[in-house]
Amino acid sequence: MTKAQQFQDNIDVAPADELAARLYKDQIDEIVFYDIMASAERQQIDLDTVGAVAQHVFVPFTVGGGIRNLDDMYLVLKAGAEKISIDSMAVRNPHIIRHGAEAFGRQCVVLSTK
Amino acid sequence: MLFDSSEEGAEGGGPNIPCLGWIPGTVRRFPETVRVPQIGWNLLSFTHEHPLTHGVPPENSYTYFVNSYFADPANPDDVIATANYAGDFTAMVAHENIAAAQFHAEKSGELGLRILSNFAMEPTMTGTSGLASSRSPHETAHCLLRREERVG
Repeated sequence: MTKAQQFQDNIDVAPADELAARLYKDQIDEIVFYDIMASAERQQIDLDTVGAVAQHVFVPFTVGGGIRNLDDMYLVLKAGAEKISIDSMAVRNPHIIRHGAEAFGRQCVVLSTK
Repeated sequence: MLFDSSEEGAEGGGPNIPCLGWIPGTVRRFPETVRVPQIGWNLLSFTHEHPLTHGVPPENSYTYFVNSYFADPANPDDVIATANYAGDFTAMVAHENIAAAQFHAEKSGELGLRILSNFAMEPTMTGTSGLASSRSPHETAHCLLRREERVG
């Protein structure tokens, strides 16, 4: 978990799973997790962290960052996410939204813009 | 699936799809006047006492829904709780020893875990002394979720 200004100079704040557990205890109603390195550096999304967060969180849990295709979506859902958030890939390939919705259900594909 | 029949899969004016018939009634689609699927937290209104809702606050109990269809039980006494989306719809149902929730208990915070725990531990739900009662509701829900994962 990082804190940034204008998406720059990210400062590590806490491990994502510990912070998610604390937010859950504080009765947060939804958690959205972005792997900001995965998209920027074209890496595979950090599935271990997704899984660790999902272990602690019993509210809706959306995951985004670095999702390029249906296989990535499958892995993220399998790791414990409930919804997939598509951002830059939706610009490169808008069809990914429809393909994801057809494969996994329209309730779990979210378009995000920032 | 628990009811007599469902509109799901019968789009285009075809006959309802036959289901298990364990709870009398049908499953209907939300009308076009609202966004479908419903996605979000919604307020429960409790209509009948039931072991599943023991320990659940009677007021301000929100649970998380993701649904395009809702159950319409033939017997109103089978309804435990309702929520409102294009009118009141069934949120929890129980018929004899079968009970079901329309919302996602596993995504409904501590309240959802409580309902899962009641499902496993309430003696009147299980017909026995329930699972090992030394477990907290949280631990029991974890066990149930892990079991669900294994079953797939």
